[in-house]
Order: sequence, then C-alpha cells, then structure tokens
Amino acid sequence: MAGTVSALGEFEQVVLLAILRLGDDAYGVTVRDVIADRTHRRPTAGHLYTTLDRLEEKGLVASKFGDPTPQRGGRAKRYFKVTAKGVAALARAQQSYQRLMEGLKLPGVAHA
Amino acid sequence: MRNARLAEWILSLVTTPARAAATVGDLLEDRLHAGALRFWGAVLMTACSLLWRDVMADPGRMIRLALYGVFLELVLSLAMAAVVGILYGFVALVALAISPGTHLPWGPDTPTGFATLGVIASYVFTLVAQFQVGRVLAKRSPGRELAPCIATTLVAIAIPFLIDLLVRGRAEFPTGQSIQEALYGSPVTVSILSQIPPLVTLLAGAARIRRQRLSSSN
Repeated sequence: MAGTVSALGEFEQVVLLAILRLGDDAYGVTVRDVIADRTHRRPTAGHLYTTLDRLEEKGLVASKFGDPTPQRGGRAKRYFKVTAKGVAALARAQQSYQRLMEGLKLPGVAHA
Repeated sequence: MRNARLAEWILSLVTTPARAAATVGDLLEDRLHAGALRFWGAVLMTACSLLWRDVMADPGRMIRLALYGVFLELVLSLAMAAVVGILYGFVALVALAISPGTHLPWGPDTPTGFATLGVIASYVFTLVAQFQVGRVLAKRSPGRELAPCIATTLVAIAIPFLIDLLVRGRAEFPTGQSIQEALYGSPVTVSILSQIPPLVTLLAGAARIRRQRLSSSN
C-alpha cells in the first residue's frame, strides 16, 4: 500500500504505547521506566535508542530537546511524541491483534 | 570515575551531538546506571547498537563500500610488498657495491633481528594503511562514517571463509591445513582476533573524518 509504513514490530508498539502513556513527559529514562513497570522487562539502552531513532525516521514519533538540567550535567532531555501517523500505525497493529484474537481462547488462560 | 564528556564523544561518532548529549544525560539520570561499570557498559552497548543500525540501514551500499575497502586494503598491501622489495633491492645493491661477494640474508638465512624489524615495519604500515582506508570510506559515507569500516572488516573476515568453503575438498595441502590456516598461518579464532587492531585503526580514520565534519558544520 502506497504511503503506509511497514508493519510495526512488537517492541516498536511497546515503545509507542509507553510514549502515549507518558504524554508530555516521555524521554529516555521515563520511557524505559514505564516499559519496565508495565511489561516487567527492562530494555537495554541501546535497544531503546535505536528503536526510538527508527520510529522517528519512519515519522511515527517526533522529538524535541528540552532545557538543560543540572542533575544531568547540564544536558537537555530529548522528549518524544507520537505523531498522527504513529497513532494510525499503532491502531492498525492493535486491530490486527484483536482480529487474530477474536473468538480465540488461549488454553490455560482465564478470559474476562 | 565517570567521564561523561568521553561518553558523549563516543556516542557522537554514531549519532548527532545533541542526541549523544541527551542519551548521556539519560544514562547519568537513570539510577540503574549508578555504577561506573553499568554506565560504561550502557554507553558502549548503545554505541554498538547505533553503529549496527547504520550498517544495516542500507545493506547493498554497505556491501559495495566494504568490497571497495577490501580492494583498497589489497592494493595497499601490494604497495607495501613493492616498497619492501624495492628497499631490499636498494640495500642489496648498495651492499654489493661496497663489498662485492657479500652474502645477502634472505628467507631462512635472514637474521632474527632483521626479520623482526621487517614484521614490525609491515605491521605499522598495515595500521597506517587501515587508517587511510577508514578515512576514504568515511568520506564516501556521510552521516554514517563508521559503518563501512565494520562492513569492510566483516567482509575481510568472510572472504577467506568463503574461499575455504568453495575449494574445500578440491585442494589439498600437504600439512592438512585448511585454506584459512594456509592463508593466515593461524587458526580461525586467532585470525579473527588479529582483525581487532586493524579494525580499531580503520575506525580511528573514519572517526577523524566524522569529527572534522561535525566541527565544520558547527
């Protein structure tokens, strides 16, 4: 399909959801913390930053630099925001999961 | 002792200086990286991840640059052999002119000190050549200066393996060595480990071009 991005990877979806959850306070440290809290797995810094860069190259997130802070040695935070294109890609990916899950009962898993 | 500036410098080789600064700021802030070992581990792993992303961003172009890099390395090796040959010939001519009938050391007769000097000189020449190849590759890959160096090293390691695979069973060496061992005179692991110093100098050449580009753009 012309004008669409390639399918999102599982970790890309995790990162996009974490950024959406954080709102205006999404930068490297908080994104990692949210992912760790919600998924009980802590991504390596390298994995997270390469994914964020890739998402930005795809136009799914945008980043901007904040003001330098003393506790970071005078270094600015790089804040991330999911773009409209990112939201649409995430919605498509989630709908695909939901369609696959529809009417399916996973053996040994309690369903609501 | 953490040296955040050094960490920033390392990361700025594979990403923009602003992003490198923000990443180092994150790692400083993140309580998980309170220890120096964890901090530096995260810095190096992040640099490696970003470098590998650059290598894989355009594999076709990287393979072309890598083959070009290997070609340059080969040309420089041949040039080195030619220079050594010319120097030896010159020394031999001078020695014979001064004292006709002089026995010229060659092959197994070469004195140990003379041979060692030759090995050291050729190794230094190789490292200097690698530095120059790194510079040339970096100039051809703006924005991803270090990536072709990794690709070149991988291709340089892969080529003997491929030759080995292709001709295995068709060629026999009296010593029972593989082609890899016959070419490099050492086991596979040693030949891979021996690529580390040339890789470092290759990266150093590319890093120099990267720094020049960054300072000229500021």
